[in-house]
Amino acid sequence: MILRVFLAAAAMAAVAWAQPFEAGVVGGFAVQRGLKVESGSISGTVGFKEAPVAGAWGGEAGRRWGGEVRYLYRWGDARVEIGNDRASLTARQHIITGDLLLFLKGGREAPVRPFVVFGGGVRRVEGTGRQQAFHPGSQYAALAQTSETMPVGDFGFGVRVRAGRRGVFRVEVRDYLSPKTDNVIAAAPGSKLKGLMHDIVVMAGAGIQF
Amino acid sequence: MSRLIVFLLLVAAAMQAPAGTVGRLVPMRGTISDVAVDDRRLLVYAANFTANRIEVFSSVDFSPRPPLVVSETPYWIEISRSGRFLAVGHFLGGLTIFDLDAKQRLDQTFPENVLALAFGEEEIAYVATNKGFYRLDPLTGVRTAIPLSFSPATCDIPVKAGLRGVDITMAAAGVSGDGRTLYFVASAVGSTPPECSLPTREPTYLLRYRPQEQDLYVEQILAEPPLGPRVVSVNEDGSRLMAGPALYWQDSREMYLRAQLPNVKGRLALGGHAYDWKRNRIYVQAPVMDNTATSAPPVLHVLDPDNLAVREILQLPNPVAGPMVFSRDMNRIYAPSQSGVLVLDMAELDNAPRVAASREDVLFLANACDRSTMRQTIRIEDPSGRGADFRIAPAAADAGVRVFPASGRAPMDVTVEVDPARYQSQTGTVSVLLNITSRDAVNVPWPVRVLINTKDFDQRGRIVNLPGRNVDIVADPARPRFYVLRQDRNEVVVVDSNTLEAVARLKTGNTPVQMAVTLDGQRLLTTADNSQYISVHNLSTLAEEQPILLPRYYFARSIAVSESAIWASSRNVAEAEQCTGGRSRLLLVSTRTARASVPARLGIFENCVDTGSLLAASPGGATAMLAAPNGVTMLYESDSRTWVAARQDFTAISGTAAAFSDALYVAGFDLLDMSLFPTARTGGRGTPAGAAAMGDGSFAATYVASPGPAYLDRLLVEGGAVGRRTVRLIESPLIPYTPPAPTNLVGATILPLLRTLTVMAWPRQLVSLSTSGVMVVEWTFDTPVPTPDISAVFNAADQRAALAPGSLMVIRGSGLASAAVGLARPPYPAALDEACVQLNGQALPLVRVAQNEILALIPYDAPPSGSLVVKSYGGASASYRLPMALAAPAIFRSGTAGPLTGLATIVRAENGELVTFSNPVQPEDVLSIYLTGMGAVTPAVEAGAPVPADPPARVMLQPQVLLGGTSLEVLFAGLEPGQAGVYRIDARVPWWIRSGNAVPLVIRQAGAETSVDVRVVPK
Repeated sequence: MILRVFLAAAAMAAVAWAQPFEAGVVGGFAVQRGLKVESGSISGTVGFKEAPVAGAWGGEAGRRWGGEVRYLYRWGDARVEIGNDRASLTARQHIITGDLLLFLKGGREAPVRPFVVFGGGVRRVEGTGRQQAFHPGSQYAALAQTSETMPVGDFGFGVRVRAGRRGVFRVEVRDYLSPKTDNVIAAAPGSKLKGLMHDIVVMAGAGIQF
Repeated sequence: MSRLIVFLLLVAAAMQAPAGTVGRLVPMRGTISDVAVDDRRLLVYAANFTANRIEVFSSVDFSPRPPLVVSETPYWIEISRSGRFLAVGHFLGGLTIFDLDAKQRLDQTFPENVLALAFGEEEIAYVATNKGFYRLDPLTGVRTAIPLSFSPATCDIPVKAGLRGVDITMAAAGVSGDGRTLYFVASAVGSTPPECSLPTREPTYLLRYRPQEQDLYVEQILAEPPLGPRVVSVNEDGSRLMAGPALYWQDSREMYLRAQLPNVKGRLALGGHAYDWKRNRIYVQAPVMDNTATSAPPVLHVLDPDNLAVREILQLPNPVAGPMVFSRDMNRIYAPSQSGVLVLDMAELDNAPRVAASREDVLFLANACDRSTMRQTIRIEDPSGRGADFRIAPAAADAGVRVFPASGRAPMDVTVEVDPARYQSQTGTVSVLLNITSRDAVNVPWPVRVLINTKDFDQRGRIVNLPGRNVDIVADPARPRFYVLRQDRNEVVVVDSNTLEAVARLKTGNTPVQMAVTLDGQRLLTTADNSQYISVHNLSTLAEEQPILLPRYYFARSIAVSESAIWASSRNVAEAEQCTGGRSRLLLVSTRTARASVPARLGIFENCVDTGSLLAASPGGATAMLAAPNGVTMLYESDSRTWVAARQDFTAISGTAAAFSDALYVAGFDLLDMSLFPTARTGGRGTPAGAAAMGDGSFAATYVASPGPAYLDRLLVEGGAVGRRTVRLIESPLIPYTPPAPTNLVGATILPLLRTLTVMAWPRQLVSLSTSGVMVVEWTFDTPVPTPDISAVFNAADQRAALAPGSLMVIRGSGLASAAVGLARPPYPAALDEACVQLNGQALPLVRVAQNEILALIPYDAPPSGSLVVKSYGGASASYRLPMALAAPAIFRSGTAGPLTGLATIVRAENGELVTFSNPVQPEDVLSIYLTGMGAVTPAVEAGAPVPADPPARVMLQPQVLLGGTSLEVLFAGLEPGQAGVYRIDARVPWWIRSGNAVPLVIRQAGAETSVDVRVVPK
């Protein structure tokens, strides 16, 4: 699954490769809408805490379409919140996506170009904290010092602003979606994790056009 | 020649007492019959009866001086208080008087046998002959007759070999310390040479003369045994004297027999004694029973002057054979002996090396399951501080008792080690004597008694060690105390019934037999078999009061207090024909007059009963019962003040008898009604030991039986039917027995019927004389206690039935223990709270016990199967068949994490925490798995003991560990150090292990398998 998504994103990026190339760095903040954990009548939330993100992109912005490959590092502890039981485990994520940008207005040389973006890739989640035989809520969802890789899809919108002849600024909001975790955050026997992980990321970046 | 004589004299003078004896012998040739001490001239004179001379030696260096040659048979010799005159009485007639100041001599012909003479306070001698009694002025030689109503009798010469002067004269004299009272003892019937034999009961005259008052008192005594040794020793004021074996006291009323030496045959010429009123002691050397001077080493008994209780026994170099005479300062004794004159220096006697143990008894309390060796320490001391040597060892070879070191020098601590396993079949108390000997010590040390009790848990009672020969027990009705009669020390031990500690000791007569408390609860009356009085003690002050004097020749034995009369059984030495042959009179005792009398009859019945009879009053005193070993029973009724019943329904009564109430009595096994008619049997078995009324309508009775050691019944008698509830006792109560042959002057009288059980009012408990002293049994001893029952057995780790050597095992059932007790860590004992578990007869280490569950450890070397038995306060369970495997690995489910319980005890070395869903196994983890039941280990480890860390104990059957089918590398499999019954496997997880949320972790060992699911995640 992950492989197919990646190949699709790479294909889209390859389409845009013929255009002028630009690259840059981004930074921002991610807020996640966690997964729901249920065990009988008891329910709670698991996921990752809001945290900064940082990354880099490289790609091309054409007259109408653009494509890029983006790497994002997300901080943020894994967490379990069920009633009064709260636990967390130090964690990190690496998100690599290949995305298509659809510019909504203006030509290639337009100073401000709004766009929508969509794509997909892989997300690697790593629990780095010390796992314990018991933490609050572990009888429903357990945090573990392990890692797992899962597909990620993203979509969003933003605006591209030219700065000088070759400078580029971007501000955008994206939603990174992934299925539930199985290792770093796992449903304990008798419990279920429901939903998708949504990471709403607001980013701002700067780059150079080559 | 002169050089040889000098050499021999020096040798003689330097002849010290051999090591281990007190005193020195000044050897002489001939037969010394008497000595006199000349303190002024530092000389000692000894009458040599057969050599017809007076030997003289220095009291400084014991060197001989020229003897004084006198006429034949100088028997008695005395020196006047001023030291001027030395008077010698000759048996064949005559007196020789030496004026030592004037160096003159007067030989006086006297056609009478001179038997004894004595100087009074003034310089006048008093001479007893076979014809009369005379006052003799040594200066003039004038004799004045003092009228006597009797003529002493003697034997005559020639006599056969082995006899001495006193066998012929049969007389002796003594003077009080102040010189104002003279005593003479002479025989009333003569004997015939050459044997000069005496009758068993010898009529003897005791004459007391006070010259100042010219007061002459004569009494004829019928002495059984005869008054031998024929010696008279007097105290300072003449109120007390020893004549032969008898100690007489003069109180405000009369002269009475205060005590007599037990175990003597009354041989006239063997032994002697001295009354040391300065140090409050009496010294006696007398052969015990048939031991003559040549057949037993001579010993000096140091006695209490109140009742002749033996305080100490000292070894002498030569037997005494005549009067023991003090120097004027009372710091030295000179006595005729078999080989010359024996000299006893009091300072040497008091400071001579001795050995004594710090304890009389050493009590070990083990149980039927406890096999661990027990040790206690006793201290061997030398009160003189001179470090006497000693050896200590069991009197008879006993593999269960070891003493070390076995020898040494005092003071030294000695360890007594006992192996209870050797006595576990006894289920009672075994007694082993430790004898102490010494080359240096002058005393004969008392042995130490080692008592080893190995009880089953259903045996009731608590042992209180009271050393000695205890023969009677009685409860104080008004105070929280009971009284135990210690016969070998002639004392009553007062015991606080709350603390069970001795709080006081009361002196009694010699060889006390029984006690009784007056109905007002104020006085304790104690009889004695070798004293002609009943001692009286005030129970509020514990002070001795005026004794109750008995009629001449009677010794009281059993005693009972009823409302209207106090009765005492007796033995007597005076009855000619009427009441003899093992029978004697009942005495009527009056505390008001402090005298006892002999009623002519007991109602319509003759007053002549078995000397072994037991008297018992009913609880309120309305009646008193007599039970005799020959089967006779008699009943006294207080209201009518007479004996209303006397029956003989039995050929014999054994053990004990008691009055349960005014209408119910027991004699042996038989219950008797208010007329003493037998109505039922108690149903007990063995030998009856004690019986008492509980005060709530029930009755208690004890028995010694096999298999035992003993039983206690609570009897309920209703309408002729007897209900019984029986429990086993922790050790045997006292029952009548024949004392061993005596070896010293400690009396022993054990009546054929004894009282050994008493009931305390507060605290409510029963107390019985027993092997170790007394045993105390709680009032509710017969409360039903469930017999232990085993319903299930499984391993403590995962509650499965699989068990193997090294398994911690849970035993479920009922009645397994009486309380919940547990230990947090080893060592685990073989018994906890009166409960134990045996596998094939071997006690298992116990971790915890409770009424319904026991946690025990199967030893690492246990056989593959066996029978399990639980023993507790309720008895022993039925045998439970316990099959086991060579190995039965079971992972403990005792882990906890937060609120999580029942977790498998698997620990990740990475973080030291239990493997759980939130702490899953990861590749390359090292896991420590804790189990039980993994079987034998090497090197071997003692079950129940904490496992040593070095060297590690590894399992002999290697386990296999699999995780999700993948074999893990086993780094260690063995016992966890510091624990018992807990094994540990350390295993490494390979990097290629597959993940999963429920991956089986399997332990396989010797065909057995256990499994637990764990979560595995990638790294």
